[in-house]
Amino acid sequence: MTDNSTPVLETRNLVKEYPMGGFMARRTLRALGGVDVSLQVGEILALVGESGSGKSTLARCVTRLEQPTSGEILLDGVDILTTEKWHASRNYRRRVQMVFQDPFGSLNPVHRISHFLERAIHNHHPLTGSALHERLEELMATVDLDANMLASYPHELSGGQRQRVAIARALAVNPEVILADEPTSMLDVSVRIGVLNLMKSLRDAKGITMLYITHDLASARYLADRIAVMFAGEIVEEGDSMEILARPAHPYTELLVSAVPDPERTGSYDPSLRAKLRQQVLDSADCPFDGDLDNPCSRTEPVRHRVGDSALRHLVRCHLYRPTAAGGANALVPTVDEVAS
Amino acid sequence: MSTPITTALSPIKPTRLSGRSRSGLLHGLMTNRKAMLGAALLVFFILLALLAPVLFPGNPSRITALASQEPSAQYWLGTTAKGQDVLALTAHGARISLFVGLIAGLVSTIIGILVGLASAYFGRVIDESLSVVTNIFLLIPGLPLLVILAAFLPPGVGTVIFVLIITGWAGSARVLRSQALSIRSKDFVAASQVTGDRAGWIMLREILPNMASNVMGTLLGCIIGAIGAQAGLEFLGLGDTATVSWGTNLYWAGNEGALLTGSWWVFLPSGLCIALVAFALSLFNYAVDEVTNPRLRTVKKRPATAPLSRMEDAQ
Amino acid sequence: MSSDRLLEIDNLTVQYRGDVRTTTAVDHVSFGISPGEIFGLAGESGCGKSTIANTILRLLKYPAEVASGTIRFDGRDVLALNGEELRQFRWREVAMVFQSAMNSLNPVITIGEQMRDIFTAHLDLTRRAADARCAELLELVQIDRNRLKAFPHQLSGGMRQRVVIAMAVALRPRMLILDEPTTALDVVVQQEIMAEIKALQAELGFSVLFITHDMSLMVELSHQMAVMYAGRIVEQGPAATLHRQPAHAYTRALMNAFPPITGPRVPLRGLGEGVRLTRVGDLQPVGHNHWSAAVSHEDRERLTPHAAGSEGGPR
Repeated sequence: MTDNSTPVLETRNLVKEYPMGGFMARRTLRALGGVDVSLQVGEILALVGESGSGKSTLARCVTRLEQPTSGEILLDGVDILTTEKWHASRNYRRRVQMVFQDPFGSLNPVHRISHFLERAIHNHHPLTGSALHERLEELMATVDLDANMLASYPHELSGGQRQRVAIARALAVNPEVILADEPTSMLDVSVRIGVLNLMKSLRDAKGITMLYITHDLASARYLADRIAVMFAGEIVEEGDSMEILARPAHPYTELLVSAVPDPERTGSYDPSLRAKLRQQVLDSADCPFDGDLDNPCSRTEPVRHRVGDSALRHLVRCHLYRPTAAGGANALVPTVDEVAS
Repeated sequence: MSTPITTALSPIKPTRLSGRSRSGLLHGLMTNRKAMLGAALLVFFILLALLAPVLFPGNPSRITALASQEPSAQYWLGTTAKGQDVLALTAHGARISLFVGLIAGLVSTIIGILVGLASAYFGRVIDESLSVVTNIFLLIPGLPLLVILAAFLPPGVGTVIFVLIITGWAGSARVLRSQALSIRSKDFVAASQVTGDRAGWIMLREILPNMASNVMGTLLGCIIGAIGAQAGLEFLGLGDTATVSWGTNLYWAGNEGALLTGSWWVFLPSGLCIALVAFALSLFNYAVDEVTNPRLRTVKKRPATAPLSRMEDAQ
Repeated sequence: MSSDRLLEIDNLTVQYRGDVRTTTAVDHVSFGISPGEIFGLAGESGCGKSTIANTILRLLKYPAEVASGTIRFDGRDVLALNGEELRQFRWREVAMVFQSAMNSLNPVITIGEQMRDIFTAHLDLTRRAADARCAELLELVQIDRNRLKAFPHQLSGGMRQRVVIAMAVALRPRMLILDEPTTALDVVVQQEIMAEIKALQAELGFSVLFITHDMSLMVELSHQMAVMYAGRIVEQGPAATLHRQPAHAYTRALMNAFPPITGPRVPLRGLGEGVRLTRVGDLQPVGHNHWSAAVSHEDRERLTPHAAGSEGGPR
């Protein structure tokens, strides 16, 4: 994958702030502090972070369910926040789709399964009669569901089946990009892999680009080509999945990796080391790596650095400089170009 | 012991229920005693209203007999102070009372639905302004407003309906807004937006169907309120005293001193009818609540089973 | 099986009696926990693991009932305890940590008051003495004692769960039941909580019954574990053994459902929707301290995963 082709979906310096404290609010909550994400055609990017990291806010901004405070969202190089500032166009809705986290909440309980697929089709590629029926059956087959479920209601299906319906609904419009916001976290463990495999096969077969949002590093590694780690509204590290987990450059990524339960680790479990690392990352004012000559982070240049081979596009941002809402402006120096290390 | 598994773990297989919300509700209602009793009473009064011109032909206000006669074989409910047939008046009274109550209740509820949905869906500025308007109408004391409006507008059934709607819509708007808000925050509404559905569709076809039982309850409450408020207005003489309705019957009864002369047969029937209709609607309301909220159902007693000692752990 | 077990469950069967049919939630389950041991109970939702936990503490409510079997804690029959004995048993001998702290904590009372209640209710301490113990307890789980005055919503999710754990170990029980204690928490916080529990266990020496669906977490933490399906145990043994050499096909399938964080990326095959096993036989020994139920041929077929990407769909 070269860096030269236009990303199919990209955000530049995306900021989302929520006013806190009522009508004449002074304080703001900075949910997204200048996020740059880019998705190449046909790639699966995993956005990993804990709750409060801003990953769901990013998804809601990209799917136009929330209005960003500032920044750009580019679809095929065109900033849609300029061309369609207040409401998403029908074209955008066709090209960018979303699968939600809760399989029990994302399907309206009063409608049959066919309704959800029909609405999607009706809004973008209207079909009637036998053509519609064929399309419905085709969609159900794509997600491995029996066509006679079309007449059922959501409560008659299991969690995994509902999530497949949600995926079918997203597919019905022939999208270019699908965002999946924690699509498996509310499913039974044994059906999660099936849904992830389905997503992968959709990418392989149809070339759909995917943004997979999760807190589960292990599934991110399994599914995604690249991983971007989010913390406190920013992307702190981004790179190839295997690489970033084997050799994390940012202390927070390291913390996340060490926190994943590893059955191979039985017996050599040292919780105090982990607690110490977390303490360092989250509470300390000093960067634990400051002064370390081998480390790309430094106090005076808190910018995005390239790590290792530039072809891998492994980027890291120093955690020391976190954005503060009180300051009003982002304490991080905004960067346009990366500094070669 | 190896037994075939018939336990809790089987995932749900699609069953062929035709329409969960609709047939489930209907079936539940048909087996519910309160619903049946309420429905029976309502049907009785509706039939009475519809058949009144057939059963009591002619103008019920015409003077037909001696004044203030007690109930007898000829006049089952006696006569008024003017000499009118109370039974005919009561039967005809059902027509206007039910009609006005129904229309006013229905329109109030529709306005409440639209305001509530718009408030909940659009939020922010639209919600703030609609809420202000709703609150104003809620704060204004109902009866004085009724009185003032009725005094200024030309008398007639239309005025009564108009006045009732103006004072009745805000309560349902408030209730429906809060339920619409809680539905609005659900993922399926966001999913609908992402699919490309428009605001109107989402409000009426995605959010509203989930509010069915609340809307039903609100509608019944509005109708009861309208019937009662109408009776109140008319009793005060602010309705159209020329029409025949239960309220105006009570007005004339008061005006002609039926209370003073002890002619209970003049005012009792109309009053009782209003109470019974309200009762029937309330019963139906309770029944709908019970059917849609399983936790309110009265638990049927089960025959005592074998050793209870191991089960009574709720200590 | 040694007789110095702290908890001994023998042939336990728990059923839910409905109007139409009876569902068996726990089906002839037997296992034991030794003092100081961490025993993991794994399985998907609906397999009966939470029901077992509730039965141990006698928290079952109608229509659930124990149909057969015994539960012995330190030799005493738990199911036969009467009111006062049960009060002594709960929290002092066995305590429980539930999945969501907000299910256990009263949102309108401060943490300090809730913790104090434990001491004043069970140990009859004065308020002062109780407060002192509360402060000690909070320090045990590394929370500043000033937080005693806080309300639950003012604490983060991880802190709330630590408070709940502190409350559970307040009376130094001999066994702690953890029912999905970290499922609602972020992965980093989850590790802290598990570290906390492990440290407490090392210090206070209680046994743990650890219920979760996260196999990786369970293997990392437990000494012994058992895998349940539809109310029956399908495999039981040392955690490391079950992870490295699972004998039962269902265990294998469950272990494979968790992508590893290290090593090469291999395509995994999940389990499809629908019934996995039709019959679970009795446990047969397959190694030292390792038992597994026999798998019928058809069931083995069902558990063989299909090609990646094409699982799911009804059978």
